[in-house]
Amino acid sequence: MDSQDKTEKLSKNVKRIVYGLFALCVAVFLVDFLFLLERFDKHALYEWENWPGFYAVFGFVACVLLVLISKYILRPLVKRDEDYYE
Amino acid sequence: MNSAPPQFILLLGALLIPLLKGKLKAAYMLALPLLAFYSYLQMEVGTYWTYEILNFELVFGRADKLSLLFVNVFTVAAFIATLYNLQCKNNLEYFAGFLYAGCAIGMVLAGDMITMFLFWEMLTTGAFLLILCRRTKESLSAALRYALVHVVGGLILFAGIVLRLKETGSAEFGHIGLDGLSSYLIFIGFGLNCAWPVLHAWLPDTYPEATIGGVVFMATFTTKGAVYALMRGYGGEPSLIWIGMAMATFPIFYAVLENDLRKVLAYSLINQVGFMVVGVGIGTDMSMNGAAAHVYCHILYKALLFMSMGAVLLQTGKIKATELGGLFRCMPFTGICCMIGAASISAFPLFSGFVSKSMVMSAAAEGHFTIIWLALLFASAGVFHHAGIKIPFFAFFSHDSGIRVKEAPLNMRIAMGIAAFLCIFIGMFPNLTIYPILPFGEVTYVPYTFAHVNGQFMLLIFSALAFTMMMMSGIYPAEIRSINLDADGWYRKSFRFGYTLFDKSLNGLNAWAHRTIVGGLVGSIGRTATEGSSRFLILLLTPYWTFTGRNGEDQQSLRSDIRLRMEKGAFPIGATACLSVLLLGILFFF
Repeated sequence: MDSQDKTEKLSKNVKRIVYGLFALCVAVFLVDFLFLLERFDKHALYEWENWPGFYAVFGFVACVLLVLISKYILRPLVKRDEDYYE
Repeated sequence: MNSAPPQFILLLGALLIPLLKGKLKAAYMLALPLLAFYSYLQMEVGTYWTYEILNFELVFGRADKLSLLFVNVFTVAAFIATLYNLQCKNNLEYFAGFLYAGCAIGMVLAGDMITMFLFWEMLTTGAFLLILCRRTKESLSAALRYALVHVVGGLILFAGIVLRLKETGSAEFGHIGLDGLSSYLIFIGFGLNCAWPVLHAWLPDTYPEATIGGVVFMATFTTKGAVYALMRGYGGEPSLIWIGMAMATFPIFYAVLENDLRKVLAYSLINQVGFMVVGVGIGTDMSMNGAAAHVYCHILYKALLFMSMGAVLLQTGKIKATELGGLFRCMPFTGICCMIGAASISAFPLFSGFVSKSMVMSAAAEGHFTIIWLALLFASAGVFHHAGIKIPFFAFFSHDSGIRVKEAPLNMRIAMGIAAFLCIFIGMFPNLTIYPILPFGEVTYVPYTFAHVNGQFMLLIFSALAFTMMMMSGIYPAEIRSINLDADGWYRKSFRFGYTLFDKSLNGLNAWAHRTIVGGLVGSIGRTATEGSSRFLILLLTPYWTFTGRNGEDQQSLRSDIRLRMEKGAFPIGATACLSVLLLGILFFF
């Protein structure tokens, strides 16, 4: 196997993992709708915990915000050269 | 009480290490924490090893459920870290590790503030040595900064303790609570070791400079020792809730940007300690138990993560995300251990963090701390993002860096294996492992409900989705070789400025003083002393000479005659006697 094949195989694997992740996301999201049925109780301490997909949206938005704030606000403020303290 | 004090098993046992060699030495070093653990098992709740000195009772063994939990986890961590560090072949480093662990155990077992302070300060020495043992230029300056910061913290704590001894007359270390200057000083002293925001900068500054094994000790004892002190002295103090919230949230922004993977772990350490501090601040049985459980789980998975990154550093000589990648093929065991640590810190169901973190969050929700709860949820998603995904991804996957190395040495693999096993075992069976040793009442919390597992899973999997999508679209900030300014910037820069300022001002003053006093004033005093009287006399006599017509050379010879006589002290007796009578006359009349 030459290196091109390897790279192709690797990117195929990466694609598989990414599709797997998408499928998992959809599955967990759908499972959360089960709790709309009377039979399952979430024992929620807050009202919003009962909204289907609350944790999904929160996790996604939190991470996007985290990265954007770090990249566009924090980094320009704190970034210095590696020899700043030399 | 039949057992020996576990802290002294480690502290005194460490003294023999340099005398031993080879396998015997390794076996001896592993036996010490095991012996300490055996001694822990023999300990029952009670007070042991007390001594009276200067009317103060020193208690070296206050064993209750709270201190025993810390002794338990500290001895377990000391064993794992010692096993991991066996390949370092440096007696000083071995000794420093045991000094560190022994002092940490001594500190949590101390029943009075004097003993506590003694071990608290010696603990810093252990950490200082573990940074120094790296023997690089950076580690030397990091060690000095570590020592300076902790000396300041120690002095604040010391001032608080002395004031408190004077106020209360007792050295007992129990609940303190915020009620006056001494309690605030002690609070701040604890807070510095606990890495509170703004006081935290020593941690990400110095931990990445420590030795490969040393950082495993450091990640275990200092901050968790401080959490113990806060639990003991300030449980239920409301300001801790907000301090903990700040600790849990702000470091994750730094962790996203940071390139040095051990520094990423240092930031996530602060983030995790934040959860504990929130738990201590809420102060209910549930939250205090959650904090204690989190201490136990956190020590294991944080040690595991630092061990896996240490193994990468040892084998490749590199630790920056920009220089690593694709290591999973040659270091699969380390990679898997790293991912187990990552899953635990991210609180994946079936891993240890899931149980303990949920207890703190439930306690926050039950106490109606809504903002805190939302912030902690944000921190949970964030910690998965940077410690859960970023660490394993950039080291073991990502782009192939082309580095081909051997798997980590056997002792390191066993140490990581033990920690990884414990992370999963505690996560699966909290009822058998940590629940029985939690100090504050019976634990009824049930982490594994369908809704809770699915909710947590959803939070994490969508965080992973966000990471993947931002990675693929190129939004995720590229790792760059840079320094990110933190709260240590002000003293690292301003102290240099201060040094220059003091160099210029004080040394300038010194030089000026040298010039004027040594070069000028001393000479003129000397001249005044030798020539002053003759000059005065000449000044007095000149008008008389001029009046009597003795000018020119005649006057010159008279002057030199006076100078000569003054120098030799040779005046005719008549003149001396005349002047003496004159002086006596003056004294008589006035």
